[in-house]
Amino acid sequence: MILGLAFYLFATLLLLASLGVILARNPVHGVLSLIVAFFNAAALFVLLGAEFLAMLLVIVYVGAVAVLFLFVVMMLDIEPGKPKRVAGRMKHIMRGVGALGYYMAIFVPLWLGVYALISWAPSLLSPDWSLWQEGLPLVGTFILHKVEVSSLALTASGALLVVCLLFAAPLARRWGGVSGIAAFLELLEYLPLSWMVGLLIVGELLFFSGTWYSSGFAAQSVNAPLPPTDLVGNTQALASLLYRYYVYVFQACGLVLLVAMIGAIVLTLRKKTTLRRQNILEQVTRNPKDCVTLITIPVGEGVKDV
Amino acid sequence: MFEITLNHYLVVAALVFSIGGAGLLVGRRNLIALLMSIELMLLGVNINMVAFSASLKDLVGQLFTLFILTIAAAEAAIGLAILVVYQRQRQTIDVDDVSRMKG
Repeated sequence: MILGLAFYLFATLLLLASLGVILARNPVHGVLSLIVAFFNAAALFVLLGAEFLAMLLVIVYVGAVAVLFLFVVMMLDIEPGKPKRVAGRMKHIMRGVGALGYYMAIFVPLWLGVYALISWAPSLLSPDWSLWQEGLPLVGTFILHKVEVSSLALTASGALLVVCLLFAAPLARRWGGVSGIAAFLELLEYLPLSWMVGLLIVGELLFFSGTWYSSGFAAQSVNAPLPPTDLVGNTQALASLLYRYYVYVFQACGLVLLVAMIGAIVLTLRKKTTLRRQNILEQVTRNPKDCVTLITIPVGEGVKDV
Repeated sequence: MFEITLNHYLVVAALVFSIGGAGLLVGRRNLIALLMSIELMLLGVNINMVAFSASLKDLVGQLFTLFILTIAAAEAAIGLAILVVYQRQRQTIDVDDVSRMKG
């Protein structure tokens, strides 16, 4: 009961803060929302028993990354975006809804078709007709959210989503160029396309979240079982796993961070051209022969050339 | 309703990921907003990983989250460095101006 209430509280705050991140006009407000989101995600991690990660999220993310964001925002002197005209935005939204329907009409049947093909493929391959008949109602129950979610179908839908992402924009552009309804389709390039893809992602993810259950093999294939929490704490268990079996990956992570650090420094380092610094190498390698010459000056003529 | 299952966490993670994705695609304001959206997406992925780790009683999921956090931190550092250099060069970080590559 208490756990459930806590979950709903933190989840709601997390979602509100996430919306705040993407809707805030002022970037400082966006960063502060991000911090709130991280805090609530850390609370969710605690509810799940991942105490070390919750701590890490608060210390590393809120303490370092979010503050880094805040520093950059304050350093860069960005003015908050100007509010757009409401009429123009309404038009955009109406166009977006229209384009969403257009997009759904094309890709959702395709998506369902691929899923049906995958569900049916085993029964199609085998000539046994009873299997074929078993496969037939599968699509119907799939629409009713009751079908088993096979990993193959998940992969296929993910791949299809990527294909949609890759092809939707150029497709829209070409159609807009060829046909006379360019005024309608040119909008596909910007805001509506984004909303479509976002909504599609939401739909797919919710769909699979709702029907998810672990297979019977999942319990057997556990790689590093959680130790009993009264004997070994979360941090200790994680550390022993990390240093015993994943030490090379750990080192690789350290290298990645090193490269990131060097990269960030190299990128932002500025050489001042107005300053004249001492160059020791140049001084030491200077040869007296090249610098000093002895010239015998003839009497009454003066120095001609040096 | 108050029984919290794996699916509840998965729905939250999916929503956070999608909000981040929508911010990435819709929010064409400045590059900082895009970087923050990427952070949100990674956060959604992390929630997913930890939820599965707790559900399957397998610690590797949490370990993987650790690595994702590391990479995300590196990505944020590099991204912000590029941002600073870009702003120095152009005096703007609006997304619409970034498509212009030269000059």
